[in-house]
Amino acid sequence: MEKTDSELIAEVLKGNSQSFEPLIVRYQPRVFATARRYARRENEVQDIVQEIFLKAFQKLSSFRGDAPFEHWLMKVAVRTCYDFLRGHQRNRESTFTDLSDTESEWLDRFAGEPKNREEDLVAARELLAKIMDGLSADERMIITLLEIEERSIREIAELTGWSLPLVKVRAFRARAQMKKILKRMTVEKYL
Amino acid sequence: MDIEKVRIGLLKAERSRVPSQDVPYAFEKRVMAHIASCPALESITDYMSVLWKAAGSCACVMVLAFVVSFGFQSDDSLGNRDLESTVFASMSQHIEDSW
Repeated sequence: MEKTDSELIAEVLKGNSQSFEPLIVRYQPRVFATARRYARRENEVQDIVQEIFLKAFQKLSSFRGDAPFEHWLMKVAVRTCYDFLRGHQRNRESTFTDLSDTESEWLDRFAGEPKNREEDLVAARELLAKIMDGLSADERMIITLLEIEERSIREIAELTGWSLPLVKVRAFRARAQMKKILKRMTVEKYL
Repeated sequence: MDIEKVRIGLLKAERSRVPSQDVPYAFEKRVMAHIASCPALESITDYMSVLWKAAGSCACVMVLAFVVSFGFQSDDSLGNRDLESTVFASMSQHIEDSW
């Protein structure tokens, strides 16, 4: 019979670090999916996930057990991803000339009639990635959590450790910044 | 072009992508190998926490000494005189002897 999270955690805290391995096996698919929202290169994703589990192991004594282990681990995951974004902040301002032909065509088609064809989706995602590169770590984090993962303000506050008003302010600024980048791109394209 | 509509369209496209949950082969072994090399790191962390606690205690003692020294400032002149006479006692004795 499989041991529960609490049993495994108790064993790790007693000094049996090998008991941490089943926890990694249990939660690594979810952690990989989270990390893939923030990093595109696979080697970066693997480094982030490794960092998440190392931090979780080192801070395991701070897990109080009043919430499921998965929630606590996701907090560690989100904060590690935020550290990654801050460390790899590109803040590169994309211009229209940076857009590929497919991304440019997507803007044309979307201006006409937005459709959900698969090729359109791929071009839209690539275009979004370029816009996200122009955002700060805070802005990128909040857009990912609020608009892509569709989490509530309260959930985001818990995950990031930011206050509720700060989450709202950052969300407002992030949306404004996204629009600003997009506007510059389209102005360059159509003027 | 409605920028907000475009923005929502882009986000909708990204939302429809479900990130892969694929895990590289034996990834947990890689993490466990790093954890095995952690004790050294842990001992450094413990040492640092002890240092921080010691620094905190020193700061408390410093503040306490500061408060005490200024709190009893009225008696300080008397204390200073006592200290001065004690320190200079041998010197004045020596001078008296030499004369």
